[in-house]
Amino acid sequence: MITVQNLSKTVTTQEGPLQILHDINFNIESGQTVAITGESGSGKSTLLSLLAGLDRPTTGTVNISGQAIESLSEDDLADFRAAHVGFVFQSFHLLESLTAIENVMLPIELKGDSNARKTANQLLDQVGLSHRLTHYPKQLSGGEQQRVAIARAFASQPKILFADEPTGNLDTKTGSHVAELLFDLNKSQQTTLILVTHDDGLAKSCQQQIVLEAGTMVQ
Amino acid sequence: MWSLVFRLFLRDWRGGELKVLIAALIVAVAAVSSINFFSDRVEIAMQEETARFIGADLQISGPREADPSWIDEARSRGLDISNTLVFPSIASTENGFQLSSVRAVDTFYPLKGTLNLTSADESSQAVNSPPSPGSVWVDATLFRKLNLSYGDMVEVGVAEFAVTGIIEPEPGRGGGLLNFLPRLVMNMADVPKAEVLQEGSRVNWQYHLVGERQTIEEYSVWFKDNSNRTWSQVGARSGVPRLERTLQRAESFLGFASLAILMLAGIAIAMVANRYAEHHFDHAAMLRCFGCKQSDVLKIYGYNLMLIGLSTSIIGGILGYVIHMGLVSLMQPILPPNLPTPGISGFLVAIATGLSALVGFALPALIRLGKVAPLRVLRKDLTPMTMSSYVTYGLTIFSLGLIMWWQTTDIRLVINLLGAGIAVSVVFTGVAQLFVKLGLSLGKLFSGASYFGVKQVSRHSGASRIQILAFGLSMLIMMLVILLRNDLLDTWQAKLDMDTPNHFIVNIERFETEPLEQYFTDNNIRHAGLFPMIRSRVSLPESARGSIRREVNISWSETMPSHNELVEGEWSPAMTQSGLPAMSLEQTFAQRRNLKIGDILSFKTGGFEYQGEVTSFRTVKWDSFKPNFFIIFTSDAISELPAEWMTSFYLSKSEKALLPDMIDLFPAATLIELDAIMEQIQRVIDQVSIAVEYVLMFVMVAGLMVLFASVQASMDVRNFESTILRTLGAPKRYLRQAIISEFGLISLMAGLMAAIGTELTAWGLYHYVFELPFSVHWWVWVVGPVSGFLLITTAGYMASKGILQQSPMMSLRKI
Repeated sequence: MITVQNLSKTVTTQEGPLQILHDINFNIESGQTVAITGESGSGKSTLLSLLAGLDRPTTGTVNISGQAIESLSEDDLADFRAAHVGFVFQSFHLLESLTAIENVMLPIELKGDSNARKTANQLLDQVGLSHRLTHYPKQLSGGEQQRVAIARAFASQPKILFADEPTGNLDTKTGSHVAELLFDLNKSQQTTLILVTHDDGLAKSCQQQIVLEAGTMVQ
Repeated sequence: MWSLVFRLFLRDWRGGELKVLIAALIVAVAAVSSINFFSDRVEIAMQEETARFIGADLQISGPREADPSWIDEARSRGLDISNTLVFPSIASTENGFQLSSVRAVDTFYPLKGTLNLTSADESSQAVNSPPSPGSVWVDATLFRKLNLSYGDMVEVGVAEFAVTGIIEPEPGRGGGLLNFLPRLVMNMADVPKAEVLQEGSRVNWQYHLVGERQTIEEYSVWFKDNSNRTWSQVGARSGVPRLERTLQRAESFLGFASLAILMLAGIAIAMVANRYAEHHFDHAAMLRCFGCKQSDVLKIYGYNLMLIGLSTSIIGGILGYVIHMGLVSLMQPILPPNLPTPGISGFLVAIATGLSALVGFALPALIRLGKVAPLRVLRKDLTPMTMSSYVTYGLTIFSLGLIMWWQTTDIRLVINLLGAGIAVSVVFTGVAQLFVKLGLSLGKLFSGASYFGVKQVSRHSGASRIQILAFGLSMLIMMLVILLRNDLLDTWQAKLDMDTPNHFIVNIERFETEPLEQYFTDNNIRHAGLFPMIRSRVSLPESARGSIRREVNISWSETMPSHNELVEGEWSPAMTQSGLPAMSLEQTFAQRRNLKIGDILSFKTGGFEYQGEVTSFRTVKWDSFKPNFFIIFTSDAISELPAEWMTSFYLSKSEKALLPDMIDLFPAATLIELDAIMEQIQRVIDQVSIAVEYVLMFVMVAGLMVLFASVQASMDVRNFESTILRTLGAPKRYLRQAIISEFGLISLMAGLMAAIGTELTAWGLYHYVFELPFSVHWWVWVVGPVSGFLLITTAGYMASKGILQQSPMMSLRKI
């Protein structure tokens, strides 16, 4: 489903060009769970951003379902994200001006679905937050916020879910609860899950691991 | 998308982050709309006053009968016309004779207004038709001078007419000396019978027109294009000179104040919108992640801002209407009754003003929001590039210019104001940079918390510069408006002080001048000086433009009248080198005819021919209520020519009792009483002054809002730093002192800059727009820095109070 070939990313810094990723190659099958691991600064988040079409590679290709996404225009990339991709972030990124249910409704509404409220309700119920529907993010704990973010990520029924350190901001117990929820939903919705993590336990729960060291794939 | 937009809008409306933007917009729209509504009223009042004065909506007058096509054109436009002839003629009875101003009126007279007529039974009644053929009406002066009784016959030309009533100053009297002679009104049908008009008679043909305001204005333009220079118009936008200038200045002030409010609101909107954008970068990045295109993000925030703009503009419009009603009720005494209620267009203007101000000032921030990269969700440092400063400022200045142009329709004023604004901003930016550097050096003079605070000014040099600029500019605008208001009111009051003459006396014979002067001295009456008046035909040199067909009143005086000002050449009392008597010309009279110093003009008075050489140009205050002349000989070279003398003087209400005595002592002289008109002008000035005060209040509120908005806009970084400092153990006292020192220094710098800018801009405005004399305003140099310090430091302290009162933990959670 996802084919990455000769992927490299170089950025320009004050000291000159800095290569963040070197010649990365791998395949991910549909419905798989994949962990991208490595030390800080190894290029994990950059790789995730290239896979999700948030950034463009310097060389190489990212092919998703037969579509080379690096060749898409900004607007086509936006359409691609709307149709195929969901996100979960370390810092949750909930919209503070919207309630929990409004946050989950947002991607559904953007797709033009009129059943947004019903679907959002069901999803929040699935993550155990049916009693927190009208709470604003500031009124929720970190774990609850991440659960809302997970519900929101699945709301648009994405084919691929990208998660950047989804448990990174949570304590161990809450983290494993959130991870469990993520895997459960992933299974039930048959989504391809690609997550970046420092957490060995979480990485081991995935079917495939991509390990980076100084921008090079070592596993 | 709309449900998201609507939710964002509701949230932003409730959330409080936009409260300054909302308040700024409401104040701007309320101010602009109330001033618009109100200006319309002032305009109507002015036109009504003029109409009352001339007895029509428009008066066209010339030395001969009007071209029939002009009349046809007016009729085809649906205007009503009345024809009047005004000419001097002798009215005589057995008791004597008197040169009078005869007004012959047609059956449509008076077209507008009514005449107050006192009949034989002493009752006063309003009439709206002309005297019947064979009868005339006279004014009180003529009645008294000819010692008339009701029913007496008075001779005009070869015919006799019965006096059937005494008229009070009637509509259509208008200005001009001819109109100040004692008045006699007769029916047009009687003119041929009197045989007073012959070829070459001095007749003024007046046509009075009445109709819809718009049609009158259109016809006025058409007439100007289709007639020649011997025809003049009064009405539409020109009328009673004194009143017109007062109201025009008031309108200029109101216009300027509304622009000032727009500018202040604009600065506040721009600052809040920028902060709003920065707070929503993550929001926008998330939307991009969900698949929103750049254009979608722009739309979402754009529509949201539009909804905010729309709702605030509606509230502002309603508020503006309420405020304008207050103003109207304050000005009731000078406004005509049954004013048409302002239509929906006033509200539409208000809404359009609010929306355009919002778009103009918030657009740069909005565009930044649209440019947020989706990758920001992973990398916080990806802040969208600020647009080129030129583009940002260019956009803002362009939209401000458009709004100002739309509001004032005076492109010159807009270009001048914008030009001055840009120049002041550029200079201010440079000065602010200098001040920031100065802050760095000043820091060494302090220690502890104050040192930290003062150093902050240079640590955040970019932000400090913007703040000094914003504070400085808004204080400048506020002080400028106060300054204008003070000087405008002072000028109005000074112009109508005790010295302003309210009576003219003309037709004084040579032998009467000394007794009259003595009479003035004995009765302690101040007068403007006695001036001889010689009627003369004038021939211009070949190099001059055009010719002067009518007789001109010239005068002679060895000293220049104190209410004139010499602008070129010398007031030379002696003969010129070429042996001709020297003379001084009024500047615009000379300019219009391309006359130069050294030009020789030829004159003919009766059988006498003589010449004079131009040695100087003067400016004349036509609205000074003092004798003024285009041509004054500066020596007594023409003193032997036949002349009549004139002067103007002031009489208080109690001194009016002297008038009958004066008329008896100087029976040949003609007395013109202007105190009623002066009182009317005073009343207008008093009412307009109240309106000016009202508007000033608006400007102050808008200004304070900018100060508050810019303090708020800077609080994110300040609060973050204060929180960290508190976590590191800094006591509240330390932070308080640091904040006061930082804001104190910034506000002092801004205040100083505002004082410099105020004086410079005031000089320009006084000189070019308001035509007021300029002098340095010392209070600006004290009030600027001191009030800046008090206001801004207090606002800064209040804005950071929350952080100081919360526990460091609470503050950290909010970061």
